[in-house]
Amino acid sequence: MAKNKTKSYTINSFALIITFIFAYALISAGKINNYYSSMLISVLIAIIMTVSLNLTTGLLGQLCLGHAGFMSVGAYTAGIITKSLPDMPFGLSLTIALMAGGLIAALFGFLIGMPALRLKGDYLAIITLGFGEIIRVVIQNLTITGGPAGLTRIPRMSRALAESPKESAAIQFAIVYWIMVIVVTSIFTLGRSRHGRAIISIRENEVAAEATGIPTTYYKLLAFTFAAFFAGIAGGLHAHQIGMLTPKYFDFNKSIEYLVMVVLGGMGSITGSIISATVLVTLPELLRDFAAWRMVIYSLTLVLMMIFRPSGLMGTKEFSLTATVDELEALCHRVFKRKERKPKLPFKPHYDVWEDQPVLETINLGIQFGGLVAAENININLKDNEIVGLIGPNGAGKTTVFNLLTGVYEPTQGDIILLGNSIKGRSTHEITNNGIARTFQNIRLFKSMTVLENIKVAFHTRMRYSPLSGIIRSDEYASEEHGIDIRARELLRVFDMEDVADDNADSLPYGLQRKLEICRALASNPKVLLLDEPAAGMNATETQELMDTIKRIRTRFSVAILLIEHDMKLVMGICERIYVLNYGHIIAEGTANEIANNQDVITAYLGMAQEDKEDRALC
Amino acid sequence: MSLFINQLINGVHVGSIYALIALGYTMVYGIIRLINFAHGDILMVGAYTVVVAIGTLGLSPLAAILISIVICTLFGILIEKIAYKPLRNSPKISSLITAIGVSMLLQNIALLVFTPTPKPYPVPLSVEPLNIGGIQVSFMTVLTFGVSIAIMLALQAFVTASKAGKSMRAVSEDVKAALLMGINTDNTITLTFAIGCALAGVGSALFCLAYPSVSPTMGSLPGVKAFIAAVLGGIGVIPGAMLGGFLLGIAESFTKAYISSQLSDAVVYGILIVVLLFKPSGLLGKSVREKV
Amino acid sequence: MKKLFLILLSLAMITTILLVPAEEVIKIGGIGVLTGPNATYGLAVKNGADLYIEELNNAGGIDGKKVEVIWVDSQGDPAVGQQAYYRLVENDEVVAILGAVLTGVTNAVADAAVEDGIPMVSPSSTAYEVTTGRPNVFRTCFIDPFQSVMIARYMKSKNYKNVAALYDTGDDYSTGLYETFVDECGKLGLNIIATEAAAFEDVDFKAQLTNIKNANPEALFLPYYGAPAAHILKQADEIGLNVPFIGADGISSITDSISDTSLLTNVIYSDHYNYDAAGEVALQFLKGYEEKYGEPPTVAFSATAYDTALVLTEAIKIAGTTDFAAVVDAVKNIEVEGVTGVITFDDHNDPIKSAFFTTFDADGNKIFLERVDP
Repeated sequence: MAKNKTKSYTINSFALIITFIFAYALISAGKINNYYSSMLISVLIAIIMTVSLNLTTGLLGQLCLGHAGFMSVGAYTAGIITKSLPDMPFGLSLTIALMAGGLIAALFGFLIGMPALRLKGDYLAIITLGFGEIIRVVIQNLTITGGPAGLTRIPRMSRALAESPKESAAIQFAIVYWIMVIVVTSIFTLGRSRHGRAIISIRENEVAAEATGIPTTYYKLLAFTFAAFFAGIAGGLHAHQIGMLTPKYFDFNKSIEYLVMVVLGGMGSITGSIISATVLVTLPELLRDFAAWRMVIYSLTLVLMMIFRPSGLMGTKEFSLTATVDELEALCHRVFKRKERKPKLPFKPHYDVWEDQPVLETINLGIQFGGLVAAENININLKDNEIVGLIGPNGAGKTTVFNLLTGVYEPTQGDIILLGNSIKGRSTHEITNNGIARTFQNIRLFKSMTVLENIKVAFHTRMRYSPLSGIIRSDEYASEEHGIDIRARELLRVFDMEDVADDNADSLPYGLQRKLEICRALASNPKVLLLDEPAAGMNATETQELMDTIKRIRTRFSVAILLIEHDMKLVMGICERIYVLNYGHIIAEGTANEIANNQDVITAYLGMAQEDKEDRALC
Repeated sequence: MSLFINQLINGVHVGSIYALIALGYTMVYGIIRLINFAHGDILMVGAYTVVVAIGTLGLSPLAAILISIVICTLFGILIEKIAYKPLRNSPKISSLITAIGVSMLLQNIALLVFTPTPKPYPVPLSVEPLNIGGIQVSFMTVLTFGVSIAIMLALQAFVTASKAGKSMRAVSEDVKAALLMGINTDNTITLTFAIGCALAGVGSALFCLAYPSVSPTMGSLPGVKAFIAAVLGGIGVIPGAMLGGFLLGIAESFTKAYISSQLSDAVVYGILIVVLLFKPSGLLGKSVREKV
Repeated sequence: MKKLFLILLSLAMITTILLVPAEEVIKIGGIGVLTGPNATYGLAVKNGADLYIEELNNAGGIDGKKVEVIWVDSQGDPAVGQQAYYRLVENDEVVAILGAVLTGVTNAVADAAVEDGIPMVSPSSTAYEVTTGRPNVFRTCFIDPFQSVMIARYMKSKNYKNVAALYDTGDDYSTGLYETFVDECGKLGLNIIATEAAAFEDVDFKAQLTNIKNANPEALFLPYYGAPAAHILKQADEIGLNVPFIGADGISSITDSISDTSLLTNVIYSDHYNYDAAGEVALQFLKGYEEKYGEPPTVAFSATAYDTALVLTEAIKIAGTTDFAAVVDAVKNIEVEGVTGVITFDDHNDPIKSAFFTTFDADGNKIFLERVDP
């Protein structure tokens, strides 16, 4: 395994460098003429655009129809800057222009990302489309951008970088090539850091991501801003490649063009993006002789491709680049440090538990949806290390109580006290970080992530390294990632799941998926664990096993457990206390025995009840 | 004041056309959650059908328009069967890209067959404008408005009362459940496409009577506008599409008249964004809470 | 297997290249928008230029060498146009560039052409800036400022006092004309009492036209291409706006897209040439065009393209070489009679030409009104 990795790393890094040296030499010798070199530049710019769009659309999973808008902001900003600094050496003004273009585009990305807080799916897509068009219309009507005629006579990199045209073309290639490499590796490393895991977890399941402690809003904004930043840089490069910009160039169709590249390559696959950008930019050039048929062939291919390979060329798979980055990093450390870094284990949160106080307590908690009272006057409490059941007929409001406790719904009345502090009105991820973790009735795993990664997402907030550290893979990154790797594997070992650590979550059998969800909840190191029908769909043996597991969890992780369950054998078997909920009200509380004999409960479950029936039903 | 009323009438005219096209968008979206980008191009198919029917085959205008509606419907069914049906269980974005592909395909085939030069729409309709209290209302405006309102009412009645309409609503709620209830979901979806595209055919005739120039890319702009109208009103809701269409038309007209004709598009998109920020599922859309 | 295939493929390609006999042909690169919605203009240019080259080759070419125009489609996209330019210059080794058609593309192509110093003549890019500071870039069409100045003067000569303007904000051609028109009106003392604009590809102009009608102007300046202008005329008729619509050369293609030709009698526009006022070359062009393509040219750009091909080949003939600098020099000092009149270039590399004011009869036939010289 390690040997394979080293091999592919060597091949890839050498490939990158050798390609560069080769192309650079050929261009500066004039063997690759302007036609091919300018095509090459176009390909590289398209790669930057596609890979950056893949960050929002592929990794974050939000459809963005306005990526060309960001590109135009960057392009115009950069073009205006170099044009207004004619006396500065071009290399310097270009650097300033590209950075400024990226930053202004990032600002726009941030502003457009804001609606992402409220909107989802197609509606978000429409907003991005709208913003893209607004940007275009505004550019069209400004004087500084040259109006519809566009911004002309921007210094061109193929000429302005050096005296000799060949040399200038070669330097242009070098600049664009290495920017492309940096952008691609950045997005790649970012994608594989804790920040990337957070972004992908949002795509996989936003509700679960929030419940696992991920500040989803922040990460949506982060992804939009980064993607816009890179698109802005690509725009700046485009401006200085062509030498002129027109607003029409950056219309809706341009955004679609990049989106097509992302989807054809495979959403979330950076390698796929690179391949499809390369093919889709060069192909029209090769098909030039078919002139009129070109677009027909293109669109037909698009439709057929989607029908026969709907998840794109590469799906979410990556080429061996993965290994490259990992090994490149290892090499760096071997060369410069020679010392194994110590893993930094995630800190264990300390919970201040007072002996006589419950860890979790609700006071007259309730919620109304419009006129419907879904829960009212809920008073429940959990003592430390206690296992408590929450039962009730279907539609009684059990899951609603869980949603109130975890901040999915904001209560309209009452209060929730966790370890002495009110957590009412906090967002889900904050509550998770304050010590309440949960599982879901309908399993919500991050399906296309591996078992290990599912667990690692939950460690997110107990790591400190910044997105930048993640991109450059600093020491902090390495030691923290190493630390959670150790912890995550330990956790899996406790649940006997070590052997499936690298399997995709959705390939697990049902019982293991349930177990993994519990495992993930525990990874955030909670004080209170809420289990929503953990035994649903399990057979008798599995349920028995689950009962043991739950008891084991309580002692080992020192948590209080509140569980919703219909399986009375399980509830009666392990719960020290039971609350019974009906029509949004607590109708009974007590030990298993007390509940089994409570007349109200029997009525709630069976309507009119008879003595002997109830025993069979409940035990 | 008369200027204001004239601009209102202008807005209503454009709005009726947007609304009519938006109805088709909304129905298709409602049932399979697909933004059918090719919907606008069905408009173009209808328009060229009329051009060919009258110019080459020498049919009467009315016959040509009726045939064009049939052709639009057939195209809708065909596109659904060939391009969208195989993708029903694929990620949503694949269907979206397919829709874009179909749209590009239709446009480019039209470019090849009919050349890019715009052709005049060969149905002359010159009826004297009606004069109501000093305000001129063109016959086309009245016709367009009347037809779109009538179609919306008919459609609403169809969807709420008829058996097929009920199946449609069932499928749009939950395809699998509908299937289990014995609804032929495939046929229902096809029927939805057929109706949506027939509406695009009607829209095509009204659009071309108002703007009598036929070109391969003529469908994309009204397509996008109608789509915005559908979203504005709450996509998937029939009266919403109508409301969205009229609002968009009137907003455009007033923006051009009183704010800035240069920035009218930006203003329209701005309105859309603001509405979505405050009502994330459109004006009449039901906000759907994700079941946790 | 794949590798083998690749090797065979490249071998096949190399042999094809080697086997093609080298024939003495003078190659000119043609860049134009040949596909997509703007292809009408590109194809008109291609037709016009091809016609001249065919006639030239039939007459023996340039000193016995045949001339060939290699056409590459720009798709109306500046970036693609620039790529097309490099392909022509680097791979096909053309000696001159004929094009591009749309101003945006021409700007991008010219940026690259200036670096190489290759002679380049556009038949249709009317924006003033295209030839500024580009010694090797010429055009055979008149420029926007000239047109709008002439239109403003024409309006003045008709004693209009209050006029209105409607233009397209998304189109450089339209805004360019509009801006210079406003300047000239200021100088002449013409009042622009209503200014309205529309977005690119918009088809509904009723709101703007209603505003214009409300202002009650004597004429409406309409710097539009034919297709949108057809919509404007119909909608103006619907809301009862009945004034002269005065446009520029772009509107000439309106006959293609209007269904009710009786509306055209209100249209007046400045064209590059007119048969009624034309010389012998123009009549010959018209005859040749109808023979070759089976229909008369609708867009004036086929005439200017014919002239462009004429200018380029004539300059090569005069220079006696295909050396870039020599040909550029020859173009600069050329004086030939083309379809659109005698062509000579001023300091700004623009032709010194006349505008031909034209209108239509109720059947859509062009009627010559008057010729205005600069």
